[in-house]
Amino acid sequence: MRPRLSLFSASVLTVVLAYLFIQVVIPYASMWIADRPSPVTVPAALTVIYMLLVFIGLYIYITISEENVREFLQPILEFLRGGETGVRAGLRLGLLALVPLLVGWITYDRLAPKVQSLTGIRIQHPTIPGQYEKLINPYRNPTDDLVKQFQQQEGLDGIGLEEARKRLVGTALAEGRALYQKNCRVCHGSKADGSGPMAVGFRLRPANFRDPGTIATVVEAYAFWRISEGGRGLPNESSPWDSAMPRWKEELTEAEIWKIILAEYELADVEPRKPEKLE
Amino acid sequence: MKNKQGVIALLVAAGLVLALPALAAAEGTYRSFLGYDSRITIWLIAEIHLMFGAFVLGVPIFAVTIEIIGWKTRDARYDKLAYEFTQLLGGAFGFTALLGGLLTFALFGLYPKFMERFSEIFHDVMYIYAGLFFLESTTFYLYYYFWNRMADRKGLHIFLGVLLNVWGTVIMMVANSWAAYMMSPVGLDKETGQFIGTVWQAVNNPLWHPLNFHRFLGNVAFGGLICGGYAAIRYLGAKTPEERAHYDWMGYVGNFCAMCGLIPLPFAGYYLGREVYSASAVMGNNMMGGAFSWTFIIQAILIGGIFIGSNYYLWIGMHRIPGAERYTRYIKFIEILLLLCFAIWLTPHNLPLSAEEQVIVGGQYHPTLKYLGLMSGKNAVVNLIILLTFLSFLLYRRANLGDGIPFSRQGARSRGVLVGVAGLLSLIMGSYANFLLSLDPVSLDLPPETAKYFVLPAALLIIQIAAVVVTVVLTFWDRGKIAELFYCGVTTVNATFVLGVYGYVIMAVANPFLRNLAVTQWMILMSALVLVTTVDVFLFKGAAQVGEMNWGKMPLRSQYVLIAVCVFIVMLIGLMGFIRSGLREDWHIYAILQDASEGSWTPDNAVMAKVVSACVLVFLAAISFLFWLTGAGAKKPESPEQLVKGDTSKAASPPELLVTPK
Ligand code: HEC
Repeated sequence: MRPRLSLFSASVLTVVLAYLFIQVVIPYASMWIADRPSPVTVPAALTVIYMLLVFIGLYIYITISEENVREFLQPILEFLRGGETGVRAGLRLGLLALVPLLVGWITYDRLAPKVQSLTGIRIQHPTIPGQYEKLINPYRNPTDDLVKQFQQQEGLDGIGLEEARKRLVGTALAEGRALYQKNCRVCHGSKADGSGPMAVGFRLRPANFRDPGTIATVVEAYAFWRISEGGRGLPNESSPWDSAMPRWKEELTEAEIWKIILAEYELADVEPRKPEKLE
Repeated sequence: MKNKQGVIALLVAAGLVLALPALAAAEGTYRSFLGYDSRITIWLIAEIHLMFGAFVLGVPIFAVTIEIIGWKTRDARYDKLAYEFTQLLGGAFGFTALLGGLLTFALFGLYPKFMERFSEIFHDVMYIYAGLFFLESTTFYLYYYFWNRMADRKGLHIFLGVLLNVWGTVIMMVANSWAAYMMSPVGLDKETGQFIGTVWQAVNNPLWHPLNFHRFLGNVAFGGLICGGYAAIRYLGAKTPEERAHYDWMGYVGNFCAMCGLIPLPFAGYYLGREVYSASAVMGNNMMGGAFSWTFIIQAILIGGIFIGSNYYLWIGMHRIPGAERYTRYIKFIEILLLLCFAIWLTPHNLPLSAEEQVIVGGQYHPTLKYLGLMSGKNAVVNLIILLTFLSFLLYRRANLGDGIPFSRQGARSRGVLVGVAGLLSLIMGSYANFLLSLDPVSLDLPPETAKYFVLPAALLIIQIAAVVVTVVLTFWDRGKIAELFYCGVTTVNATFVLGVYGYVIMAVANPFLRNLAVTQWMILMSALVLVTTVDVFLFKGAAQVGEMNWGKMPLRSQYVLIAVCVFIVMLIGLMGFIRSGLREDWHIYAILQDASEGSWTPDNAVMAKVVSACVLVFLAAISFLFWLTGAGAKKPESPEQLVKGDTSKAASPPELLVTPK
């Protein structure tokens, strides 16, 4: 028969292994996967959630059956009840003394003033202001009017409407790409991956547009709002004071912003969220 | 000249003064409740009303089901249980109606202008609603008071029970149409905002059916868990072994019924969520990514609590089943997987970070763990959570059964049923696969070249059909257990792993298609639940029991779990009520009629937690009081089992399992 770990030791081991997994394995794996220079620690809030699940899991496993409960408690009871003198008694005394000391230390740690940064949740995608909600990108599927206007401007009367539409989109995209590289690249990167030359300078990094959680989850009108109003236009729950995103409506025209948006999605290789139709 | 100007100025001023009261009347369309915030007043009344409503609509659904089981199996114990469930409804009906009346008064009193607009549209429906209430309560009293007298006309009595459910469901649907209308109004003139549609258009607004499904299932889960909590408290106070056995069983049945409602609920929620998104992208974004995103983390914790609690309850329960020793070793694998799923399910996309952590993580999102926070990750693990819970039930069911009659020796009927079920499932999945393959991307506002992304889900559905065939063949070949395992395995791989990962791809390139992806996942999972249940029923047909179930031999902690789960669901329904209603932000009727009152701001999570907690406490206190009344009133003399015809000798100890194989 294989020597079997007692339930108590197995439980302690599980906790230790789970903790190591969260504190060591995930950070190093993340470093490797995300190609970062140093391990990416798991944030404290998440560590708490995961460890709590480990404890809940152990509690459930142990208390499913009476035998398990007895087996688990046995070493604890033995330790507490064991000999009056000797090493055991000393250990027991030490451990029992440790409990109030621990409580005292935690209390001290929580109450004593110290320098600490605030922990907060930043909402990346707060509610879009009403006046932006219904806007649509005029260059994604240009209306006939816009196309005709374009034809007149460029003197392209000879070609058909559809051909002109294609050219209009093409021109808009080309202009957008240039504008993007000129204005946004320094922060958002030439590949729209959020790692432009200035990116490392900011605590709150410029958005990585290739990440499916950024511009891919919002409609174009949303991107338009964010670009027009920048970090300053954000409501409090999105901590506008953390954001270095400039307010572009002071530098660019609306048409230019729409063109950049066209180029931005293309460059990041993602699609904007579609305003869905009702079924 | 000067004089004239003065006179005009005076006249204008006088006109203004005169007009002021009129203006004020137009402006002052709000009143306050004894100086207290009107919105919170309405919130409290509406939420508690809704909780009672959910209870009285949910419980009759399974009360009558249990009654039918009792009638078919001629087992008086089921009848007694059904009666006991119904008994709990008595007082709750009164409270529901009372709170409904109070809500109406409060709405007309505090929000007269809104109610004027509202009744303009729904005026006719309101009478129908009142009429339905009348029908429902009459039916209920007939059903309840004639229970014993109609003992020898069971068919008619059951008809009454079904009728009660029909009225209840229709009432709920009418009320839902109002709530849904406030979120997704239709039939309005764009210029003037006047209502120009028909009443039916208003009722049949886009969110109506999603809400109907969601609330119907939610009510079953809610009713079941409340009854479970009730049974647990009675168990804890039970004096005799018979009583303990009875309430142990009642708690189990309540939990079982709740799970039947809970299992499809995440999908109904997904459907509702998608339609909310469609109704307004802003509302959708607020919900999942904006101001309400953290309420969804709380929701995930509560749902996690309910699922883990219910599984835990089943696992503890295995120990009172002789023969369960054969299966208990599998529990730990189910548990580990379940907890891993919950770890993913609970990982938020957006994390609370300190400034130092923000630097290390490099922004708001963790580079790897962020993927677990996205919708596709959650959808994938939900499938597995449900499948694992289903496996727990399966183990529980077979715990005290020996081997059944081999399938090959069961008659043509068994074969016919199995082939029929398999055929139906294949047909449904096949037609959906066909739909996906012929789906035009343009109808989803997607560019035509995205059609290639629709192929994989369709292919998986076809693989699933092949797996159905293999499962049936294995069962015919008397390898039923392997067949079940095989089908569950294929389902897990397809629905969780393949489609879960594929969801991230779709999210980036063709997000409107996510909806169809979720439907595919759901179909695959449901096919597993239906097929495996069918196979399992035949697998253990005629199986002998290893020993008698030891009802009443549950450790006390199992009962506390039932109570905790009951509290969780009350909190959950309160929270979800807030989300659904709060999504409208400062609109009475979304984007049509703005709320200009003082209390129109969207409450933050702290305010929400306080108000919802108040609702939960009041509801639990009120329902405990009602249950206490029921208990006090139901002491002795007429316990129905003495009056019901049938085998009463076993009345004290409940049957082995809810689904007793014959
Ligand atoms: C000075 C650096 C900087 C420049 C230049 C800059 N951004 Fe940003 N941008 C940021 C930062 C930092 C964030 C993340 C914080 C936030 O959301 O405000 C951000 C966020 C965004 C977002 C929001 C993404 C989301 O999913 O929430 C969009 C869209 C965006 N930027 C577009 C642009 C465009 C287009 C340009 C060029 C016209 C541009 N940015 C130029 C720093 C910059």
